[in-house]
Amino acid sequence: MADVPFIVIGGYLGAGKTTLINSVLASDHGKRVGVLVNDFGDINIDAKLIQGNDGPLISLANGCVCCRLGNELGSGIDTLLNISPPLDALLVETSGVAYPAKIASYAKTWPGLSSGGTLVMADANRIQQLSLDKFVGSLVIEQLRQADRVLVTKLEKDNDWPSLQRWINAQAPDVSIMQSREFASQRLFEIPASNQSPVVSANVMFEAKTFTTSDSLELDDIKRWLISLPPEVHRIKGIFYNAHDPKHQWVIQGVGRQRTISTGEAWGNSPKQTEIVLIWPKSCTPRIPDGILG
Amino acid sequence: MATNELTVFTAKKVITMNRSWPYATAIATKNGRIVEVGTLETLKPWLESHPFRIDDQFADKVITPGFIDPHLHPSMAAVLLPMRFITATRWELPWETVQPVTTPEGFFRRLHELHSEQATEEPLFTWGYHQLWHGPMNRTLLNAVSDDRPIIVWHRSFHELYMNDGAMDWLGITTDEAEGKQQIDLAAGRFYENGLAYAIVKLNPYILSNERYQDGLRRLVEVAHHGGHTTLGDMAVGLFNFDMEWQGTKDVLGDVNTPFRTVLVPSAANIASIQGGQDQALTFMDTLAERDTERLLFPKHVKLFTDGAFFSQLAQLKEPGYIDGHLGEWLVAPEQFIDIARRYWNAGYKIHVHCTGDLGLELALDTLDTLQWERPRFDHRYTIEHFGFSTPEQVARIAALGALVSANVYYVHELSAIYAKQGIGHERANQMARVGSCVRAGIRTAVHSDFTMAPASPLNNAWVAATRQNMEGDIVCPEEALTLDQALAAITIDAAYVLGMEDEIGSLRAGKSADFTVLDTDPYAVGAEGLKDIAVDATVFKGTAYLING
Repeated sequence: MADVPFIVIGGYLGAGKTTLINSVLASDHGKRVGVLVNDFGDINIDAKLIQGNDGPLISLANGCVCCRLGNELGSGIDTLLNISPPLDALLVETSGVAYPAKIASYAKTWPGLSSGGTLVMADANRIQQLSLDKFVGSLVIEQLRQADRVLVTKLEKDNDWPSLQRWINAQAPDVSIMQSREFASQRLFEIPASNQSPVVSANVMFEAKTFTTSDSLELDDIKRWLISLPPEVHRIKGIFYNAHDPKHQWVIQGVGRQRTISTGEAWGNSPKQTEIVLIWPKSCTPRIPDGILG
Repeated sequence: MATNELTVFTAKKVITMNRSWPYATAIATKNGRIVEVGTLETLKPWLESHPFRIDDQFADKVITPGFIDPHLHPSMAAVLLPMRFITATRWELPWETVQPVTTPEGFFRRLHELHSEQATEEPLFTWGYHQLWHGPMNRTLLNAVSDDRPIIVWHRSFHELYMNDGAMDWLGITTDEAEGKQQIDLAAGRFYENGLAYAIVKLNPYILSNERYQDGLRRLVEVAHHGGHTTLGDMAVGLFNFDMEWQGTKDVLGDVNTPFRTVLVPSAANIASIQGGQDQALTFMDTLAERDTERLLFPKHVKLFTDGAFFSQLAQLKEPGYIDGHLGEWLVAPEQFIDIARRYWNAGYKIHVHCTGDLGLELALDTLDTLQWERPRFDHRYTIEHFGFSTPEQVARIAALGALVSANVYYVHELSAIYAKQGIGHERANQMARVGSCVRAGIRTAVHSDFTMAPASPLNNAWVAATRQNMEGDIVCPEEALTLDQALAAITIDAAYVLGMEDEIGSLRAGKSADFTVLDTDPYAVGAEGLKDIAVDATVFKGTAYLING
């Protein structure tokens, strides 16, 4: 059975998370989505759309199922994963003060889940002011940094959209930004794969090790090496040099068990140097297999 | 049964904690209440007009007011205490003294013993494993003890656990579903962070079963009795599951043989989540006093939270924050915090706010400032709970706003050295739990264990507060130490004040409940350094003596 994509909706209070959830529950997007919400009271489910009501679960006409979160996110996930036939995706609405990456990391741990990306919502009229707040300033900026895509809501004609985009990119370089007018619920299922550095939290501190060499690396060797890496290696990224295609960089990307190799940009004038970074939680000491990188 | 007979307890010394009448040698009680504190000579007017009996079993002991821990968590204790301890430090438990085990060989020797001691049908849970002492841990090593009987080794920090084959079979954790997942290392049987959450979902039906939970609570009763407590504050009722907890509380803590009372302070967030909203939560809270019994009280107090756990370095800090740049956590959005606080403030509740970092404290104080402006209240008892990191300027605000402090001073003992090196640096780490400043500013200041975060021993907490000695044996910021006298007040009269019960308990004077703690040594004779070595021989709860064996 395929793992179910786990999509995280983050962002501070009032950013529009619940509005988005409501539209997923009410519109026809052709997907059966399990939605984890903090409180049924906040969401606005049209009674006509409710097909079944079973304890923490509400089933809706469009095939979606809504689950109220108790103390533990895990039990909610398990409840939804046990629904038959399996759902197409799980969507979790984080609390306004949560760090979305922490929630998103469930996708990498919980049996039955795969990563569906993190969407962080931001109120166009409030986000910059919030970023200066003495209590939540660093929090809202960190939320933007942990996004795979930022969705800007409540944008009015008098907002300076280009300057707001620049501001967001100054906080979170490279994050993809959209505004809610262009965003139909289908696009939820197209959040770009996580592209962010691992979260550093108090509980999970990460350690990184960089391998460099100027030798050419054989594809087969590097594949074998990737497969032999222990599961504690949380993230791999880097480029390497392969003499069979001397013009292009080869790119390694990996989060969890998913590890890919692809061709990248041309080397151009930059030195043909292999550089691969491995990242793992400080709490473990993975044995990095010898071989290609020595 | 009401009686006219007086019982007179005599002692080598009675420390009353009543500033106006500090010492005595005899206490006359009637129906569980003190009628007079003095000497057999000064008690004569009472003794001449009532039948009486002299109880001299404590004649060569020292009597203090019954100890009060205004903040611990019976529910967490009930989960932990049924586990077998294998720890690097010595633990005095009423049913066993856990000898320190500081080598890998020692750990497995002890695990083998526990395995052969207990019926093999029962899963074997241990707590206290730490790699610095006990070396590597994995499924294969545990299988060598038994691959059949479920064995679960819980880390000292609670943040990870290890299982053998038997435990995985028992819980139905299969290679199929858990293979290749992060934070679950099946080969090692190791579950941490989210992986731990996954294991806990599987374990909950067992560790929170009524039978096991009540066994845990009965163990807590023994632990609390041995610590010399006659009153506990359960400072977050509803943490796991309100109904299940209440059942255990009623049956075990409310039992007529339990030698203490418990003040129950529900967690607003947990109540709102089961009642379906803040309005419903307040309505429900207003009904709780109807459940009061002789030993269980719901006195219109409520628990709120600002920032994350101190032990996990998730306290919210003002500049310059943590050395490694990581951020703390809010447990509730600041704007929601004030909304919730306002409801309970306006409804006349006494509010206890869990604050661990100085920014968490700032939110609690800004909120109190606003609420005082909107609707002034005198004697509101808004209490800062834990009080990890703070600034001297915040102490002045706490005083100006009329708030109280209930501090977990054990932080200083266990964490000051490590937080100095791996956390926030020496200056701020050394000043954690700055209780000395609070008392100097005239703030009523209690100390608590937050058990299971620190041992449930008021004398040990008073010792930390008065010496500020850390695990390395260093004295940390003596400027913030309490005097011996202030430290004793922090576990008696000032703790009573924090629970709003100072008219009933916390000192020994005519009219108060006859709650005593009986010590083998006079604290004033041994001084602050000697506090932790004083033995508690007995407690007296509402006039009835409960001896501590051994």
